[in-house]
Amino acid sequence: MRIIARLDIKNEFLIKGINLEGLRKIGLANEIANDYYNQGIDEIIYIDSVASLYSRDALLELLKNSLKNIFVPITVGGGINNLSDAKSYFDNGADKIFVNTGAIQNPKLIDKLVNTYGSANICLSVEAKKISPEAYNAFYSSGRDDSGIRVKNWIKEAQDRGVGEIFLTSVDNDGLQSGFNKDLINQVADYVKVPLIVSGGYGQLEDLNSLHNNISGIAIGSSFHYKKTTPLEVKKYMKNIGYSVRL
Amino acid sequence: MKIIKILNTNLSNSYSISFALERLGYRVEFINDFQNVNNSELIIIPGVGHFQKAIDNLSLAINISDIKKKNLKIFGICLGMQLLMSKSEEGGVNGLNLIEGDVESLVKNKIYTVPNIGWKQVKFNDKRLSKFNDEYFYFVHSFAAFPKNIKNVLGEIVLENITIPVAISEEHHEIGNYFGCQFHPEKSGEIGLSFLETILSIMSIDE
Repeated sequence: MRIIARLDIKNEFLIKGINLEGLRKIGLANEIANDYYNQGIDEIIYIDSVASLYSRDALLELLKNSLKNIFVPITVGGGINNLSDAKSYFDNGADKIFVNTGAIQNPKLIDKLVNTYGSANICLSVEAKKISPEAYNAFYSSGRDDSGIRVKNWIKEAQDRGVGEIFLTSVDNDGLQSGFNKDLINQVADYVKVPLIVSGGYGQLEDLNSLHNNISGIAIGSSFHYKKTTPLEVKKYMKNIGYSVRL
Repeated sequence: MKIIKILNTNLSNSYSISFALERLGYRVEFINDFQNVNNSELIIIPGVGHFQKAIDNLSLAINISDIKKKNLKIFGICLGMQLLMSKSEEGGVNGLNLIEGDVESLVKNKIYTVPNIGWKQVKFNDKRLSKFNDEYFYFVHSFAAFPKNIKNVLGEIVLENITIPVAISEEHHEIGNYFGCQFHPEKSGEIGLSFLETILSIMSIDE
């Protein structure tokens, strides 16, 4: 099991909101990511939530600086619409990239990325939002726009197109620190054939109990950023309840 | 300051390995071919990407017979390790054939969740690597190298109850002139850096 720090980035800053909205500035992303590395984090995810030209340059700079001190994988995404966007992240040291909006608008983007960089390095970010008691749709543009596509159908299509990992965020639970959306997670984990990272809602250690056994990683944002817990504390707890965790 | 040469495979991932080596006090030099390489020198082949594309790039760049003629030492990481093998299922092409055996997909080996992404505990059987036994290393791969002779396997992981080789050499149960690991030591935290340092000191001629 991987414990991952999720850092939403605006320019050189770490930001965080609720339901992917109302973003607050928390601090310098580089310093905070270094802290997480020193506390034993397994992976870092940088999300460029603004994805403007200026913020792209800032993220590439952040990525390069991070590589000097952080020797665990760094996954990057936000605003990847074509091969050359992806190339700029890989050339600057990203281990994996993820796509959402660009892939929803043009699913063939997944095929192109997979053929160039290999399945294992291409991750699909899924921003899931409840639209009826049982159904979730895939949203895009930081959870604002509804693609009209069911999460289940979208993940199946992306898997067929060769995506190597799913990064599933519950937009409804994001930032609330009130627990994961286990209903959503269980629906997806039942059929996903590639590694699944879940995100959105971690609030306390007990939230880690009775998770579906087909989960490969847990991404945590707010609770790390607001220092309610640390990567080490989460990892020790996971180990105690029987997971294989690097300590 | 000691210099380590890294073969430029024109694929990504070169930043990470070079920053890791710099952290360990090495100076990194990227090379595009073996022209200015000394006899018995150690070369790192990193690599992320597709086997066939990598071997195409390599065949254009290097004279493969130089490896044996110059008695070079090769340390391959991830795809760089797979390139040491005879051939690969990925693209159906021949590798450098420095270690006999094939690169096969994890799917063919009955692994359900593919790619394998994450941290796995490695069992090593070269005595000089015993301090890394059962440590966690970071993996991201869909293919693995299966040496024909099991004695060429120096490290293994267990995936879904199936044993997969993840460290190999042409020597039996010890690091020889050619060594490769499937995991990324440059992405495996402080243990990974220590592993890199150990491999370089074992393989460097002046130690």
